[in-house]
Amino acid sequence: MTQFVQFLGRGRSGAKSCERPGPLALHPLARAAFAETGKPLSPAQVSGSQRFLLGGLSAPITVTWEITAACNLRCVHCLSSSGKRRPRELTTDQALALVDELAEMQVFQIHFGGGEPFLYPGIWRVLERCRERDLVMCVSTNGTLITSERARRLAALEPIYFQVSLDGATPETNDRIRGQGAFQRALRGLERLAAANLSLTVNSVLTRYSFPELDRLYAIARNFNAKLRVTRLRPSGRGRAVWAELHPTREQYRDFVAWLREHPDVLTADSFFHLNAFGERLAGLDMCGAATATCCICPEGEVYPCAFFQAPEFEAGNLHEQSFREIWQRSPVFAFYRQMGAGACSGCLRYDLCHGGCPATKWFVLQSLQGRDPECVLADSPTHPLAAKQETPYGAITAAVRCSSVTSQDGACQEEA
Amino acid sequence: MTMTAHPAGYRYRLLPEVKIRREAFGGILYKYGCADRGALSFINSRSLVELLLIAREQFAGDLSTAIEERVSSAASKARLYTALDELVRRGYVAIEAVTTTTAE
Repeated sequence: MTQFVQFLGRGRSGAKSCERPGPLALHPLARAAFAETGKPLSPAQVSGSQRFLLGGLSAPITVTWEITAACNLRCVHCLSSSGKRRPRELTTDQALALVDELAEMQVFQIHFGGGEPFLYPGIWRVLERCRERDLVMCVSTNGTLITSERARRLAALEPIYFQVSLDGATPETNDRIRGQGAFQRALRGLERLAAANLSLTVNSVLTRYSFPELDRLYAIARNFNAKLRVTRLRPSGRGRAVWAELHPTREQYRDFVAWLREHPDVLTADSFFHLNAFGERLAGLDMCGAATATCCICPEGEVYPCAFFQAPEFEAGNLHEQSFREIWQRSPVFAFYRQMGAGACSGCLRYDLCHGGCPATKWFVLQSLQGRDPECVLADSPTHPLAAKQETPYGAITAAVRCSSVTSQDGACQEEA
Repeated sequence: MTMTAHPAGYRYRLLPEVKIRREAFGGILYKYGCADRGALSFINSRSLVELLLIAREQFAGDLSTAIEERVSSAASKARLYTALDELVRRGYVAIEAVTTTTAE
């Protein structure tokens, strides 16, 4: 019999618990933000992936699980402000029960991040349980703690794959983001994982400084028989402080779309769908998959719509108080998130291409969900929406995701470890 | 196991690593999420999803046999085979040539 995660009796401590609404309440700021986006779209108004995701799925496709906040690096753009282990992090027993629950719900894939997952004391037992429950695993790591012995041990856990973070093709570019010496240490980790024949991606957050190094990052990945996975910089966590300085320019984004066209094997974690508004639909999901295809579990059991949306007012629930299934099915945050209107993008001719961009980016930059994505690429030049579906005589089959994770590609994406 | 061949001399087989999940609109197919091998598709035909599940649970993944034994209408069979061709193209289903259909 599967034991579901239900950690009742461990209420929040201190003043914090007095400030927060109960498990099934919606924070006033979240309520107001959702209301501003306007009426939910009707099924007749939606297209592409949204036809299937509207209203949510029975379970996530991918769950991003930041299993610890402990990290031996201090990346300046870390979406979860990782560093020290947090006091209420899930115990190994709790984590194992959560794996069981996710398996029972038929979640397809778990994407482990953090923090650095290999600093979580129970990481091996958790990975082994995933293997036993036939859950595909992706581990996002900074690579610095990978020894040859660990790489060999990991190879026995297939299906598992790894994302090793490099935010530049040179020590200068990478280490200004990830800290001194991180570049060389990550390369050693890549070498060891590659030597164990593990499936690898080099994960790189696109910044205005790393953009000129894309070709070299691509070459580095190939050198390790790895794919390059490029993801979008979000203003989450410590990233809020550096986003304005680091995020790519519109011209870089335009050139990036052309570069992706020339490198179809490069993965993007579904994170650049806002660039579809240039007029060219990129591979993968064409909308935000948060709360529908994916969600994020944080170290202390907090559940958020996605890894980039770790704002307290959008916390959907906590595993110390509720089961994951209960949160997924009943959380008001998720319910409202799944019915968000188009806000300021309502009526835009390219809405069907980008579906308004990234809500987390809007929230952290604008403190609003109804405005345009701060990186909206439109410059008042509407064009024709593109068809995004393919019908067969037996219904529509939409390839939504070329999974690099979910999501995900992964509906979920994880940048820092 | 005795396999029933598609009339054209080949049969469709659901790949064992493909996961299938029912959803309100039909279902989701997911194939091992490896970066260079993974795929996920939404299918808005409940009957196709049920066929895939029946083939897996009762016919060891042999979709041709599942169709021949569970679908009576020629038109429905034709539509299903067309849909399966699409799943072949997307990497969830394999076509195997049948060299012999004689049961032992």
